[in-house]
Amino acid sequence: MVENKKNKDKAAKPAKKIKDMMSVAARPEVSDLIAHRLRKYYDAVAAQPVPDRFLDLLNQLDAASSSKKSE
Amino acid sequence: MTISAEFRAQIIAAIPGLRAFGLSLTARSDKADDLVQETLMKAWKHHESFQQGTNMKAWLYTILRNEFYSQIRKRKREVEDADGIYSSKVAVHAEQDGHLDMADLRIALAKLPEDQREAIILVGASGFSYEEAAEICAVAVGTIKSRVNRARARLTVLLHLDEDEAVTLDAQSGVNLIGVQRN
Repeated sequence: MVENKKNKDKAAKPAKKIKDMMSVAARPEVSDLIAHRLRKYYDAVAAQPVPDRFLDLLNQLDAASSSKKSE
Repeated sequence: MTISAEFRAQIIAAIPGLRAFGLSLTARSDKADDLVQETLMKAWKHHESFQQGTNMKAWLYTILRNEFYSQIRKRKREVEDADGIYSSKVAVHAEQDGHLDMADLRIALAKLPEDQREAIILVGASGFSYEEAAEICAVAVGTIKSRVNRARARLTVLLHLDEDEAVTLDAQSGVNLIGVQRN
C-alpha cells in the first residue's frame, strides 16, 4: 500500500489503458472494492450533521413565506 | 399555497447527500455548501413545480447539478484554466481528511472527466439507478452506463486496483475480499 503510493503520480495513464481496464474493473472483486470506497467516501460526508446555516435558511424561508401569506 | 411540513422534512433529509454530491462536483466543502444553499432556495421558490409523488431526491440533485453547471458557464474562462488547480486543491483538502485511502479516492475522482465523475457518484455512491442518474444528467441511460464503466476503469488504474496485490492487500478498506470471492 505504501509502496504503491510512491508510484501514484504516474497513475494518469493514457486512454489506451482504459479499454483494457474495463474488463479488470468489471471483475467482482475490483468493482466491489470501488463501490465500497465510493460509498465510504460519500457516507463520510453525508454522515456529518446538517449545519445550522441550512436549518436557519429554511426557517427564514418559512417565515418569509408565511408572513406573505398572512397579509 | 404554503410549504408543507412534509416538503420541508424531505428537503432536510436530502441535505447530507446533497452536500456530498456538491463536494464531489466542486472538490471544496465551502463551494459545496454554497451550492446546497442555492439549491435549497431554488427548491423552495419553485416548490410548486415539484410534482408530488415523483422523486424528490432526484429533483433536488437535478437542481444542484444545474446550479453547478450554470455557475461554471458564468465563469467559463476561469474554470478552463483551473483544471490543474482542481486536482491540487483536492489534494490539499483530501490530505486534511486524515484518512489515507479516502484521500486517494478523492484525488482519483478529481482526475476523472466531470461527466464520468458525476455519473459514478450518482450511481455508485448516491444510490440512484441508471435511469434516475440519466434523468438528473439529462442524457440517455446508455450514456450513463458507458460513463460509469469508463469511470470504473479509470479508477481501477488510478487506485492501482489493476495490480492484483493491491486488491488483496487493501484490507484496510474493510472489504472482505475473500468473502466476496468465495461466492
